[in-house]
Amino acid sequence: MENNTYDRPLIIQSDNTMLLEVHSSSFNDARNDIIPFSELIKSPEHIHTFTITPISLWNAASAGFTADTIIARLSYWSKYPVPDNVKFTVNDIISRFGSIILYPVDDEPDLFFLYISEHKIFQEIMHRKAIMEYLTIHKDGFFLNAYNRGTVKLLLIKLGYPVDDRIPLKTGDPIELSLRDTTISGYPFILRDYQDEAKDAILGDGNPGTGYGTIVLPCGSGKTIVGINVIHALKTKTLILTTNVAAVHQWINELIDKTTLTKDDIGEYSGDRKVIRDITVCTYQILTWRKDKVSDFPHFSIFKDHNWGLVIYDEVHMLPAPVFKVTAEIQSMHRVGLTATLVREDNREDEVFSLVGPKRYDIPWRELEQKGWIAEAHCFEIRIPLDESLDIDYAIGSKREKFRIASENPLKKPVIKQLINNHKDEFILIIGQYLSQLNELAKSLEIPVITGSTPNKKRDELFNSFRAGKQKILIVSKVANFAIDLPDASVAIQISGTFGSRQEEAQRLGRVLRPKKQGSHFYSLVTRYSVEEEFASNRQKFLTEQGYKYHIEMWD
Amino acid sequence: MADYTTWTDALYSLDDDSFLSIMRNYLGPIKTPFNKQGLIKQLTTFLSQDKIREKILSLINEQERSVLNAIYFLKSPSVDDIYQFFGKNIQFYIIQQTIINLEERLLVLQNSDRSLMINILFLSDLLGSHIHISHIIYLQEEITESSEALPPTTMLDQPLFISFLSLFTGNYIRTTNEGNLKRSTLRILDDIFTQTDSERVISMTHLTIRSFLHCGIISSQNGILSCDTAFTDELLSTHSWSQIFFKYLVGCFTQVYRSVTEQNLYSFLYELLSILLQIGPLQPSSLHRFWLILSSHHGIPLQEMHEPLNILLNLGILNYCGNTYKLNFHLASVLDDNDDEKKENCVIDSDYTITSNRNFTLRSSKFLYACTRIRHIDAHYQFEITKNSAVQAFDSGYSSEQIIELLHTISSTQIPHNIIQTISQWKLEYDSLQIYSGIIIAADTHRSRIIEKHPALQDHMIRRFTEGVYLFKSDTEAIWREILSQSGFDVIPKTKNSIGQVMISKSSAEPYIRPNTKAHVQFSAEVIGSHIPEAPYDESLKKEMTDILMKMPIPKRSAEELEARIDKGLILVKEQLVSTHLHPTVQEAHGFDFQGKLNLCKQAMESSKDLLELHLKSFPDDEKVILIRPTELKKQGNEIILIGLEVPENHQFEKSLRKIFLLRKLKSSLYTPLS
Repeated sequence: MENNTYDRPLIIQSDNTMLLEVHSSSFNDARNDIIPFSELIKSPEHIHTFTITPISLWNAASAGFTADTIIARLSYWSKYPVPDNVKFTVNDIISRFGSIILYPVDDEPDLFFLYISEHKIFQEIMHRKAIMEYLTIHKDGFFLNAYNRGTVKLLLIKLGYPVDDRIPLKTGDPIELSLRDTTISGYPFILRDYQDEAKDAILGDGNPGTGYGTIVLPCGSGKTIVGINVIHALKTKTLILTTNVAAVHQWINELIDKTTLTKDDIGEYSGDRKVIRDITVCTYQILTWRKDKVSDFPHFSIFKDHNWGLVIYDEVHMLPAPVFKVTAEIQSMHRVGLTATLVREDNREDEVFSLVGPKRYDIPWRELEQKGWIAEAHCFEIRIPLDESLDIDYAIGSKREKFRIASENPLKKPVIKQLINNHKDEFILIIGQYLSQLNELAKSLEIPVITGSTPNKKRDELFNSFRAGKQKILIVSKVANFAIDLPDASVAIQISGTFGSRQEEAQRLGRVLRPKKQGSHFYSLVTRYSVEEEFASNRQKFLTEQGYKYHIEMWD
Repeated sequence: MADYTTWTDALYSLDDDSFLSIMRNYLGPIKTPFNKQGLIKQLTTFLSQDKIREKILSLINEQERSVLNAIYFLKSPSVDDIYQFFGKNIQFYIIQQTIINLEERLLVLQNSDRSLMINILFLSDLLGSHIHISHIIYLQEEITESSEALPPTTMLDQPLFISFLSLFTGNYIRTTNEGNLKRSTLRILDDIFTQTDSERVISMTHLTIRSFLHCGIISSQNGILSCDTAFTDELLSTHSWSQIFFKYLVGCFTQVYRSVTEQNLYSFLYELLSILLQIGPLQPSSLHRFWLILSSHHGIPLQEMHEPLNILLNLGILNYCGNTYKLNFHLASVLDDNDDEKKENCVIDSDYTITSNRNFTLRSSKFLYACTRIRHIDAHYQFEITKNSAVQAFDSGYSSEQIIELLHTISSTQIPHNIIQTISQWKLEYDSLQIYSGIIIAADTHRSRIIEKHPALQDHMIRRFTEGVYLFKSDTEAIWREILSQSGFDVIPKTKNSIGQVMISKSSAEPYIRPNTKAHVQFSAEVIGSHIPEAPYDESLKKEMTDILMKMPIPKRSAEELEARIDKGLILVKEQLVSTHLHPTVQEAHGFDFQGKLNLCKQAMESSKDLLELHLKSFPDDEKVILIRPTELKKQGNEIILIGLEVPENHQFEKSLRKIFLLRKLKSSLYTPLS
C-alpha cells in the first residue's frame, strides 16, 4: 500500500541485520510485522537489533509466510530501499522450505517418502554419501526407513535444506486429566492469554506439519503452565525432560497443583528414583548417564519402551548433545521445546529446529513486564574495592586465580548485610559460584545454604519453608540457576558469577521475575578494577540487550 | 575589434616555402619580391568574406570536426595530445594528415611553442556549430537501459572518513613490511564493512593510508600506523568537510601525478567533479576525453587514466553502471562546501553503541573518532564506546566530563545512566596511575633550592616528586641545561641511560589555503550548452569545382594536382583553379619505383619538417600504415634498408625499401618544428 504519512523505523543492513527505532510511532506495528521472520539480537533503550537467519526464515515459512510477504513487510517499514542481497537471501532461503517434504507411504508404516521438488536439490543430495546411506532413490525423491527419519532430517538441515515433515504424529496412550479452576494451594487458576496462544501455536490445526515446535518465553512467565496446557490439550502419555531434580520436583508439584492428576499419576525418573507413569518427569542428566565413554546410554530405552504421545523438552537450549541422537529416533510423537532463549553456546540451533521443531511462539520480556505478567526488575551492579590484603595475591595471580580472588572478596560481606537490611521484609536469594564463599557466608550470617550436595529432601524442605515465608533468605549455589519456582523471591543478590553463558544470567534474573505487587531487585556484586568487572560488563550487556536499565553504584 | 595577432604571428612564423604555398593557393600567382604584410592583408580580406567563410565551414567533415573540437577544448595541445585524446582509436597518421590539412585550410594554426589552436578568424563561426562539447563527449555509443547508476554502497563521506580515523586511532590498521594489510586488520575490516566487497574495502584502506600519510594525519613506524590526534583535531577544527574531502583526494592522487603541484590537483579535481555533476552520465570514451580536456587546463599530464579513475571508483565518488560513469549525487553538498548545522542524530544505547546515519557534523566527528571504535558500516554507522577507546580519549586529553558533555551534544536521546557512570569510573581508574615521559633530575639540597625557585626552570619541570627529585621535559633538555648552566651549575653530567628521544615537534595542520576552485575552465555556454548544434558537411562545393576543372584545358598533371586540392578542401573559388606554379602537394612512390622511393627518402632526411608515410602489406588485404622520421639509409647486401623512428612512439624502425608497398613524403606540419 502506498502511504507516505507513516514513520518508517526500520533500517535494513546488507548483512541481514535490522535496526528498529524504539521511539518511532510505528515501532510496535513494525516490530509485530517483522518478528515472525527474524530473531531479536538485542533490545537496549533506543535501537533494537534483529537478524534474519535461515532458521528464522524457515520458522516463518512453516507458519505460512511467503518470501513476497516478508519482502513486502520489509519494504513497507524500511527507511531505505531494501538491499538486493537481503531480498535474494529471503527468496533463496524461503524457497528451500517446502522443497523437501516428508510423506508417509500408503500401507507401509515403516517407510517414508522424501519428495524433492527441484532437480538441483535432488542432484545435490545424490552426491552426499553421508545422506545417501539412509536413502533409496526413486523418481522425484527418495525412500527411507522410519527410524532414520530424524537422522535424515538432521543431515539435510545441515546441508541447508529444512524438511517439511508431513508424517502424521502418533497419538500415544490416552490419559485423563483436567485443569483445575482453583489450585491445590487455593488460588484461582486462569491461563494467561499468551499461554493459550503458545499452546495453540504448537498444536496448530492438527494437520500434518503441526504438533511440534519450540516456545520462547522469558523466565518467570510460566513456561511450565504452557507445557501443562499442551498436555491437557492432547491428553496423552507424556514424557517431560528437564534440567535437574529440583526442576523435576517443581514440575510434579505444578502438575498436581494445577491439574486433576495425583501424585500416583506422575513418575519421577532421576538419579533418586526410577518411576515411570503416564506422566513422567525425567532429568537430562540421567538420560545421558553411561558407565563409560564407549558404553551405550542405558536410560534411552525410556523413550522407546513406552507409547508416549508427547515429549516436552524443558529448557530446550540446554538439551545435551547426546539426547539429540535419541530425539532423532522419536520423531513420530508430539514435541514441545520450552526455553527463555533459543541461542545455544554450541550453535546447534538448527538441530533444535530440525528435531524438536521450529519456533512457534515467542514474546519479548519487556512486553510481558508491561502487561504485568512478569515483575518489573531493577538491576544494580555494585562495585566494591578489593580487600587490601589481597592486592598482591591478585596482582601476581593467573587469570583464573584473579577471578576467584575477586569473586570471593571479603569486602562483599558488609554489602550483603546492608542489602539484606535494605530489603528486610522481602524474600531474598543470595546466589554464588564458590561453595567456600557460600558456606562461609551462611555461617557468618546464619542463613541456610543449598548446594548441589544438599540432599533433595533437605533442599525441598528449605524451598517449602521459603515459599511459606518461614525462611525469608536463602543462599543458593548453581542449583538456583535452573528451573526453580520460588514465587515470592523479590530480591536476588549475585555475589559471584561463573564465566557463564548468557542463559545463566537470564536464569538468575528469572528467579525474581514472578509477578508480584512491588518490583524486584537484582544485585550483582563485583570487585572493582578486577577481571570480575569484565565479565560483569558482559552480563550487564546481556541484561541491557533485553531492555533492562542498569544502575552502577560504587561502594567505598 | 578582434585581436588577430595570433593569426598574423602564425603566418609570419611560416618559412617562405610554406608561406608562399598558402598565398598562391588562395590568392593566385605571387610576384616576387613579395610583401608579406601586404599578402597577409590580402588573404585576411579574402577569408573575411561571408561566402568564403561559409564555404570553408561547409567543407568540414565529421572527423575534422572532432579534431577541431579536440584542439579547442584541450589547452595548447600537440599533435600527440590529439592522438592521445582519441584514445589511439584513430591512427596517428590519419590524425597527422587531418591536422596538416586543417593547417593548409587555415582553420588551425600553431603557436610559437608549436601547440595547436583554432584560427581566430573562424572561431566565432565555429563556436556553437562545429565546436561543441557534444561532438566529442556525447558520441555515437549506445546508452544502455541501465545508465541510471545505482547509488554506491560505500563512498568517501564524512562518516567513512571518521571511521577510518577511528581505526587508526585504535591502531587497528596494520601492515606487513611489504605494505600489505595484516590478516588481523582484514578480519576487522570484514566485520565492519558488511555492505562492501572485500577487495574494494582493501583498496579504500590502502588509499586512505596513502592519503593520511601524505596529509600527516598518520605516521608509519615498523608497520604500525599511528594517528596524530592533535594534528587531526586541529584539522577537523579548522577545515570544513569539503576542504578535508579534497585534501584527502589530493593525498590519494599525489602518487599518481607526482610532478603536479597540490594546488593544480586541487583545482583539477574540483573542476572535474563539479562539471561531471552537471553533465550527467558519460560513456567511458567520453569520460576519457573529458578527463583529458580538464587535465590539459590544469597542468596534469595527459597520461593513462586507469589508475586515477580507479581511485574515484573505489572511493565511491564515481560509479560505473550499464556502460556509463556517473558521479555520486551526494557530492553535490560536498562541492557546495555547505557546512550548515546539521541536526545531531546519534542514538546512544545502554549497550555502549552509538548509531548514526550519514549526517555527521564535525563536532560529532571529533568525538566519534577520538573516543569510540567503529563497529559496523552499513545503512547506518555503528560505533562503540569501549574501555580502550575511552582510554585513548583520556590519552588525548579528554576528561570524563568533556566526553559526557560531547555525548549529550551529539545524542538525539537521553544518555543511558550506566554509560555516564562507566565512563566516570574508567576515568577514575585512569587517573589512579600517571605515567610520564621525561628526564629525572636528582639533586642535593643546595641544588634543589635553586631548581625549585628558579622561575625559568618551572616551565620545563613536569613534576616534583619529592625534594631533590624532579621530572623534566626531555624535548627541551637543551634549554633547561643552559638555564642550569647559567645558574651556577658548572658541572652538569650527561643523562644516565637516556631513553629519551628527541621529539620532533610535529607542525600543526598547514594553514588552509583555499584553492582557486572558482577559476573554472571558461568554456562559453555555446560550446557546453544543452543545445546540440547541427553542422552538416556539404560536398557540393567540391563537386562544383570538379565540374569546372573538368572543363578546363590544362595538362593532366596539373589537373591531377588541382583535383587533389579540391579533394582536400583547399579550393574555395574557381579563381584558385590555375595551373601555373603548381607545386605538387603529394609526393609518393610505390611498387617497383625503387628510385622514386629512394629519392623521397633522401629528400625527407634532408628536411626537418618531412615525414614518410609507409604503407606496408603483409597480406593482400592487410595493410598497415605508419609514419616515420627517416634517419638513415643503409646498404645491406643488395638491399637498401630504410631506418628511422616511428612516430609518435619513437620506436626504432627498419625495413627494406623493396618491401615498402607505398611511400609518401609528407610535411609533418606547415610550421617548422622547434629544435
